[in-house]
Amino acid sequence: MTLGRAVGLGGTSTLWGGQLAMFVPDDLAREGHEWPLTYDELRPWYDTPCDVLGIPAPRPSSDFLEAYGIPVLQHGALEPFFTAWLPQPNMARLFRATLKGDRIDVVLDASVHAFDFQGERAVGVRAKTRDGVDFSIAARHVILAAGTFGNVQIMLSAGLHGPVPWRDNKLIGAYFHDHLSANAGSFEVLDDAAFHRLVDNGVALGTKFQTKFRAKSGQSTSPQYAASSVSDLRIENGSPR
Amino acid sequence: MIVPGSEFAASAASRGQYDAVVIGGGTVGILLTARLVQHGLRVCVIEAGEAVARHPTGVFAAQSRGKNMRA
Repeated sequence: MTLGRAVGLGGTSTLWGGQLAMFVPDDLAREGHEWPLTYDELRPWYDTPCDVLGIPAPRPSSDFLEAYGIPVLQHGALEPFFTAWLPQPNMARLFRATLKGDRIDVVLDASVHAFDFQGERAVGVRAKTRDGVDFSIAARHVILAAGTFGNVQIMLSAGLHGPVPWRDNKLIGAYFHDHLSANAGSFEVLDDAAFHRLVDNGVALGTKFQTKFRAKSGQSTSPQYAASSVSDLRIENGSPR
Repeated sequence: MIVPGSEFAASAASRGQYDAVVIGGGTVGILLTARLVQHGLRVCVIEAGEAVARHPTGVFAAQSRGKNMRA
């Protein structure tokens, strides 16, 4: 709630390392866990965000292994995939020139607490400066982009200032969940050099990448499963903390 | 243009209707705003914090970087 967030221009992106993981085809096609869209349907939608954020479009893992000079892993319960690091993860810096442009006003030190409605359509916002001065802004579209907690805080606050279309929605402000994490296993590294060649951060295709591992489709990450290929990884039981 | 709330409030009434008002100048708000401006819209972003981001505790984010942070 505190260390994981930042308030100010750029928001939590000012804390972010900028690492992104994209889906691979198996993620959407796991037996028993099928998604309502195929990878081929999803894939074209990566092009624009990758372009905007300055990272290459998705490539098969084999491209990175080749760029790293490592043979494709043929065996084992795990397979590597590669996350991309943004050259500039701080959104306030990435779009600094845009923010200073003349088609945009960025108002600092002001909080929205209510909306103006025409029927059920929001046509403006009411805000207050840090000094307590009230002002209104009219707009054809009102967009909530204040994050998981900020959006909810504003929607609940607006309900105290007058009738809002979501007044009967009991879900707003309820059922928050944090990320779940647990130790699922551990590695015993048998060949330090080969291991680091694969898992250390690398630069390929002009971008910094990091290797991660995922369970191969159709295989369980059962204990004592030895990866008998180049990385010589042996998976052992993790002890939950 | 980036402007403090106190300065903006004095002239808010004369600024007319924006195509969009974006609440929050963070990860989503800035990215979205940049895309809207690229498409020719006139946008107002309202950010509760300052030009430099802080943790909600008031500590500047950069001062606690590395403590319990993950990529």
